[in-house]
Amino acid sequence: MEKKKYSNDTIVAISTPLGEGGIGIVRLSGSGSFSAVQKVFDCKKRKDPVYPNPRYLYYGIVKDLDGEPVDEALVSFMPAPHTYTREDLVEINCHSGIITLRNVLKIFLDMGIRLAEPGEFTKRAFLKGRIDLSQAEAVIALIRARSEAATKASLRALQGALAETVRDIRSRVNAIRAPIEAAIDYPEEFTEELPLTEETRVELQLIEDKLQNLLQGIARGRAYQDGVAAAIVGKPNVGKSSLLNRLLGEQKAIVHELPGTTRDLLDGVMTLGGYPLRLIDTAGIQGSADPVELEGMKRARSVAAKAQLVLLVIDGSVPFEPDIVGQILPLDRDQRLIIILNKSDLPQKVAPGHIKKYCGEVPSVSVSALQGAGLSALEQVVADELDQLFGPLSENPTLISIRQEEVLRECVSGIREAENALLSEPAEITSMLLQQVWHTLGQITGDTAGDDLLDLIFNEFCLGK
Amino acid sequence: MPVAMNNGDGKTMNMNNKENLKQHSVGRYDLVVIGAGHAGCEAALAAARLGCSTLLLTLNLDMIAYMACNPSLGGPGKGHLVREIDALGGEMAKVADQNLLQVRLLNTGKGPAVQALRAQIDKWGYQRSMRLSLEKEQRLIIREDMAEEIYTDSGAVAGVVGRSGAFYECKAALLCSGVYLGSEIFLGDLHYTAAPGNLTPSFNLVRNLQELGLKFDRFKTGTPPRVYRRSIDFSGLVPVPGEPEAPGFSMTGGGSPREQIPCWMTYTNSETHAVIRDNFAVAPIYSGLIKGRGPRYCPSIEDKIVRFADRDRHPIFIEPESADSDELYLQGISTGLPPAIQVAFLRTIKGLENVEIMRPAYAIEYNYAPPVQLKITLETKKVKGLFFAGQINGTTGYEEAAAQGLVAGINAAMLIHNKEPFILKRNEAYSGVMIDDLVTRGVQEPYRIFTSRGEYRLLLRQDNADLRLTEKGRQIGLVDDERYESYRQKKLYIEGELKRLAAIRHNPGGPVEQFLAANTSAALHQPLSALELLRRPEISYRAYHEWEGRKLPPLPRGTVEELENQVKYAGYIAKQEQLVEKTARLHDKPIPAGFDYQKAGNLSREARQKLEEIRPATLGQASRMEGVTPADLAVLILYLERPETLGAERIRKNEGADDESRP
Repeated sequence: MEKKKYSNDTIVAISTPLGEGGIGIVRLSGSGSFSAVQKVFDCKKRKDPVYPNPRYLYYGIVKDLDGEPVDEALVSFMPAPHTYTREDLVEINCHSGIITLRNVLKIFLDMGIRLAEPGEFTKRAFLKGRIDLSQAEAVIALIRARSEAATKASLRALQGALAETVRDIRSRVNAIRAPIEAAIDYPEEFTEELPLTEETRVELQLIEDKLQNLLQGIARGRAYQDGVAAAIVGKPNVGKSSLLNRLLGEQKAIVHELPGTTRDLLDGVMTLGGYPLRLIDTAGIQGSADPVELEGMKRARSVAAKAQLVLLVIDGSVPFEPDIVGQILPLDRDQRLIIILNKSDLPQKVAPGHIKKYCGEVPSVSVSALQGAGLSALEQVVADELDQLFGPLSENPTLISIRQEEVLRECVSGIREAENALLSEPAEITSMLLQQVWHTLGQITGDTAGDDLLDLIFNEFCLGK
Repeated sequence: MPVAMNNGDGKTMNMNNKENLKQHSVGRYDLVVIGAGHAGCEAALAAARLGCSTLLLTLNLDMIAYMACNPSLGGPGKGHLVREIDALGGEMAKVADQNLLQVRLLNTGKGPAVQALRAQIDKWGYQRSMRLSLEKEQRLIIREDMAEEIYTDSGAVAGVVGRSGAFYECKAALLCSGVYLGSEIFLGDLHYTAAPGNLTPSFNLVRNLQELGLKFDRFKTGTPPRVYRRSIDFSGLVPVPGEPEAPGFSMTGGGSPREQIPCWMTYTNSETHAVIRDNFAVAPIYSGLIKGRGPRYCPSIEDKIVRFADRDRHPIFIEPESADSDELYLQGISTGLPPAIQVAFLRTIKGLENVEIMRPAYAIEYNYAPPVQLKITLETKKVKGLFFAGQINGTTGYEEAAAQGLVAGINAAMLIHNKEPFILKRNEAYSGVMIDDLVTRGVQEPYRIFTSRGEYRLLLRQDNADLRLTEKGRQIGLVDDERYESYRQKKLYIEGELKRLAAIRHNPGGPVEQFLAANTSAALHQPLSALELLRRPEISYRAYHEWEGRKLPPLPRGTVEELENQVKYAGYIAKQEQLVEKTARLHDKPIPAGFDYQKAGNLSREARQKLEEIRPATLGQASRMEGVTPADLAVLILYLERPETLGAERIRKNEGADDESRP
């Protein structure tokens, strides 16, 4: 691994996800942040004796090192220690747009200020005891959260709900161990039978259920956090692209590129039923010998195979093909299919009865991508399917990192092992297995920590807060 | 030469005017061990065996290795410690084995690593045997004197001054003073300055150590009455016999008891409790006379009645003190009540209706030195060459004391010889767990070892103590040939058998089926190695070995038991070993002795304070400290990992800049 920089030098980063929102923030943290910003921020109030007044929003112009204006901005100065990083912190609210933000960022990089490592702001907050481990991880999730529900889940974890549940489980584990340990360390005084009773088994199952509950929330949490992949598939010229454009346009939704996703596999993100939906347009599928088209279709099929939701678009103005689903793709059991009858503005040759007859209980909806009709019905159908996939919104989504998920899975298998040991092994072994579960669970809340653990966490932090 | 010291409180003592006391130089030693209790004996023997000329000071030559409380050794954790002492070349196990009154193996059904020996020991015999061991040791001198001053020269030990005026010049001193520092005995509302065996405790030494910058605090403990055997009616009591087949402590074998003398059990009752309750006013822990804290796990009977008010009886074990004496020890009923009340409540108990007391119970308050003042070697941080071991460190128990004595004695010798310190890790020995707990977390009550204190308990088995430690003991030169040979034989036998058994294959329908059926073990469905067969709980190694038609050679103690544990619990043992490996990278990372916590600017104030006080030697130790959070630990990791990029200067500069930037 590369030598890490652990100093408290001043760092800078763009701290809002690119492309979202009306403004973007460039943030600096560290003892040099005030002076760096004052050097390039042209503000009428700078002659004011109290300037920069903490937490006051200053209007002015950010200029580059040659004095050329780059952007209008609102700037707030927050002195240590009552800041997120417990260091001097400056936030520059710029006009959004990636170019402007990058230009502002570049000024500071040109000054020699270091670009923050991924998650470094949060890391500093964590290191200074501002937030605990599970809160720090929730911050990452919050940054990545793309919808309202995800934000709520992040906030919940941030407020320590996950930590609370885990602490409860830990104390239950210890409660089981206590009498076993008493019997082991006081064999003469504790002459009764070992307390490894039916009650213990029941309690272990309860603990396992609690862990499973946390894990079940993960699928929901993941969907909130990473979005649900929805592939738009169908034959050529059925209106897939116009449907996509219509959906995104109607929603005035967050439309942006997702990092790490190639352009041709992703076309936009919209929020639906509280879930971020990653809409993917694919090439039309039909019998063809053209190698380019063949390649496109191959790719479309593979995208559809990975999507959680498959939106099959059919032209309602042409006669129905009974084997249409089979022509397009083989469906997976975990995938949800919705049939969209497009072009409802034209005379219809497909009736809902056709679909029911040939495709079974597949939800379908008529829309006109051209005129924007039927879109709210479509959204309702999609939302219903998502609820079936991930459970209703009212249930707690769990937003956790891969690391936390691994820890929970390890604990489930530890508890299961302890349940088996309860029947077949001496008390000491059961107690040992429970001790390890207790220890492992501590990793979620940071009540126990190893350096591998810290490395793992910090590697997962994304840029910015 | 030492300077006279001032006995500040004005009491007249013969040391008061040092100018008048003629001091005389007595001799030069490498090490002076102060106190010949269980810690001091192990310490002195270890240091002498490691080549140090060693002086052992005792208040009374007839009180060496005195068992001031139970006439017994062992039990979970404690029995493990005795085995560890033995594995490292210590004396306790051998001396105990020569004086066993009865032995039992406890926790046999509860798992491989929590089984432990518990033995009644002939108290007189134990003292005699230990004294003989000391007398036989070549570089060791035993001498009766009370140490009153540690003489230092530029912050390091240079000598010990005795009450006699004797000046013992030395390079290091090891204080194993037990409860003989500043102690006071309580019998009801009566209290007087005394220590067990009615010896005079030392006050001057405490004052001297305080002048050297060491801190002291008070603990309390107690002991039950001793009674006449002939005054007890055993007819209605439950005997607790020994187990003739139970082994002794030492891994080298030997030491079967002459005869297994039984213990007896009886119980207190509601009448007993009523008598005690009626007299709380004169119980020193409730009347406010005693202020020191006592151990929760070894409560007095008055404590038990208050804290477990719903229990209508408490067990009492009646234990023999010696094969040659009628004195019996009443375990479970220590008390600070006056002797008259003791007789009254004892006589309400079944079998004790006509009991006569030989020695009344008493409570005792004494000085201990909070052990966070020690390095992991048990050397004090304040005074170079001054070591503490045993009850002075806030522990209880002969075994705990002896294990510390051994480690401290070794480390004193290492210091004298300018060698690397001797440190046992938490995954290597309960001795390591205990010492790490003491110096890292300190004590809030008298510290006793428990198996549950070890997070790697499955690795710390009583039958593998030699496999864990004897090689280490041999390397420093403490393990003699006999012990080493026994260890090697055990190790080679187990390794050889594991290999041999893994290579034997049994097929379904083969001759082994008969053997399995005879042991009510399921028939084979697929070929299995002999090793896999032995994983079955119902298949014992001895039975299989016999079925093979082989004869067991004479083997060192615990060889077969250890072999079976390694086979039957292989998976679980591997699991714990993985855990050790996983944490080793963090836990073994050293923190430089002079590390400046002020410069690790991001530590919480509480953590910084604790870290500066305790000065942990490794990150692992820091991680176990109270008040040090994972965030603090992360800060430490970061500071320790950037030696060349950010030296001390750079950190200071950064902080300076930080200050400038603020208005």
